Amino acid sequence: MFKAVLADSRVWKNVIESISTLVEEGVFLVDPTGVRLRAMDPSRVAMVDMELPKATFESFECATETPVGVNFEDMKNIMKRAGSSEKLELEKGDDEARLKLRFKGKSSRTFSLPLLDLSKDELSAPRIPFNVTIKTPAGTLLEAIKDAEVVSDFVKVNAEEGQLKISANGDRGEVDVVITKESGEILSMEMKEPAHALYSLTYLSKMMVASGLSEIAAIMFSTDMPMRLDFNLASGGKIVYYLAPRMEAE
Amino acid sequence: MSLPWTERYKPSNLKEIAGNYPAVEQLLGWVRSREDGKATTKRAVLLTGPPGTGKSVAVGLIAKELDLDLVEMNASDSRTEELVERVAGGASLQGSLFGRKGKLIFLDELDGISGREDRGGLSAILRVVKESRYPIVMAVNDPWDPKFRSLRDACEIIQFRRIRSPSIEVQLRRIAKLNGVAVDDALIARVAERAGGDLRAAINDLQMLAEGRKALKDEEVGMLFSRVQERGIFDVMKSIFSAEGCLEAKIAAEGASVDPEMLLQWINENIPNQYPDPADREFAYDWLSKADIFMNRVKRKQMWDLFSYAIELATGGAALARRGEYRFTRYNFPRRISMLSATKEVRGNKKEALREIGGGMHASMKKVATEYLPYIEIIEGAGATGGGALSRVAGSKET
Repeated sequence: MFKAVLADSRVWKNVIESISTLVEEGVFLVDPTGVRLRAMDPSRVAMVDMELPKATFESFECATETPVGVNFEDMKNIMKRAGSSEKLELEKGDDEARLKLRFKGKSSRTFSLPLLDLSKDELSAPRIPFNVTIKTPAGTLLEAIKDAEVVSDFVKVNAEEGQLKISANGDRGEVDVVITKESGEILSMEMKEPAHALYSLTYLSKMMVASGLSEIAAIMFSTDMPMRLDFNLASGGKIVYYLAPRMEAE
Repeated sequence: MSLPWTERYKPSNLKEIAGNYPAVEQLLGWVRSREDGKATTKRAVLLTGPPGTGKSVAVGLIAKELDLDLVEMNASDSRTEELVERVAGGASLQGSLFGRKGKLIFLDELDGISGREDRGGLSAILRVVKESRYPIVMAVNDPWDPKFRSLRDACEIIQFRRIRSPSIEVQLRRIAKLNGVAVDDALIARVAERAGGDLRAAINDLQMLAEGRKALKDEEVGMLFSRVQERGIFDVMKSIFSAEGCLEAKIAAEGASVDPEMLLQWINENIPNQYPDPADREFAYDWLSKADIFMNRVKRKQMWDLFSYAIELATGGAALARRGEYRFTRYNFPRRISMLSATKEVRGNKKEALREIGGGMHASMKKVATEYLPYIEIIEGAGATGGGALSRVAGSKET
């Protein structure tokens, strides 16, 4: 069994939204150190890796590892009812196949969500050597991706000394977004060698749902290799996405 | 909760797959040549064959053998188009997340797609087949369904056959042994036999009988109901008319691939074919008429649970009318539908006449049809059932 209290229910709401954008159902692993979830979208092109350590919570009690399988769409709908300045209490008894979500504000409202019995084969995160690591404000990245979506359904991401270029071209036109060190929008950059790769905007824009959770986004990638996108939550914990590259047109 | 045995004792490499070696070889060869970039005749493969013959298992193991990323989707879902776009479409254009050199896209159980309401799903699949840079494998039980015509043309077809009983027996014995259950050979043979070539079904049956037991004897197979397999309607008709008793007839009808209403039409059409003796016909039709009463209630009152009574009465009557041996008979397709369309005009005229007569006589159409019309027809002369005579009658009433 476990019982966890979050000071702000909207944190959980945002976390659930960032997961449900890619995955329909998955298993939270709750153990004495915190809450984790790793899941793949059904096309096995993208992965989300979420971690909320014990410290994120106002209080956290958990004795043994407990898998909590949920349908994210259902949980998202419950979390839509979260009010501002409400606390959220998550609770599951040992033999219960339900998760209790209790909103505590002016009143106390308790939802009970039936759990799914999902296999919890542990996925391993892709192990990829990243040649480029760039930190940029999440808002800047979000705007760049929205710009690209205007003209195409995939982007070319290009990292050179001191700059990150996000460009797209399609039948509807072309767009180039350049983010440079000079403008102050690149907060840090580590580069072993320049890199460029294509990524699908369908997935990238879904991942940007998490940009609301974090001031800063960290992009890691190598030429024609998967991308890793990190969002560190202000309240502690993180959401990491992995995305396979799009293949170059033949 | 313990794993189903079908999962726990799943083969772990290609050599362990029971039966269908040629099909597995052929599939492996095809995926390999797609991987090596060699030209293959078709861009995708359609695996066909009854359930439980190893289609999905083979695909999974081939992906493992060739170290490919397996992207699976199950198409027995109502939002097929969206799902195909999202899963197969998404996977077909992106590289692997784990740095594998290739992928295998597998669309399982396409039978679930409905041809009419979900046309988009099938065309989305064809689109992905055309665009995908990775091999695509699909599986269906019945490839001859008309809705799969365009898919059949686009795919190489690899057939999985029912697994022969001896091969099933080998697997059952192996699993029983791994579980430490001493099982009678006769029982194994019976379980294998009634599975009808479906290995998954056989293993499930064995688990049901043997889980948690130390020994099993032949008699205990009686715990299992015989498995319902979908069968062709001509087979079903034969089983119904040759059944020994009501229960057998009812069970025979369960495998029918037509709905209960149509099944009754089939019986209706074929009673005279089966029984030349008027007394037998009378018996069978009498029970069929009782079934029809239930059928009508199903429709009028939306009481679907009455279906089973209708089926029991109709099939039981059809079976019990037989005195002596079953006689081989050629069964016909019900003529009701073609007759209805052939007589559409005549019926329309008659209805019109009934309405007019009813209007003039302050009677319902039903009453006119049963109580007045027969006399009017006699008055008008024999054979005057045609629309012309009737509307004349109707017309004269109005003046």
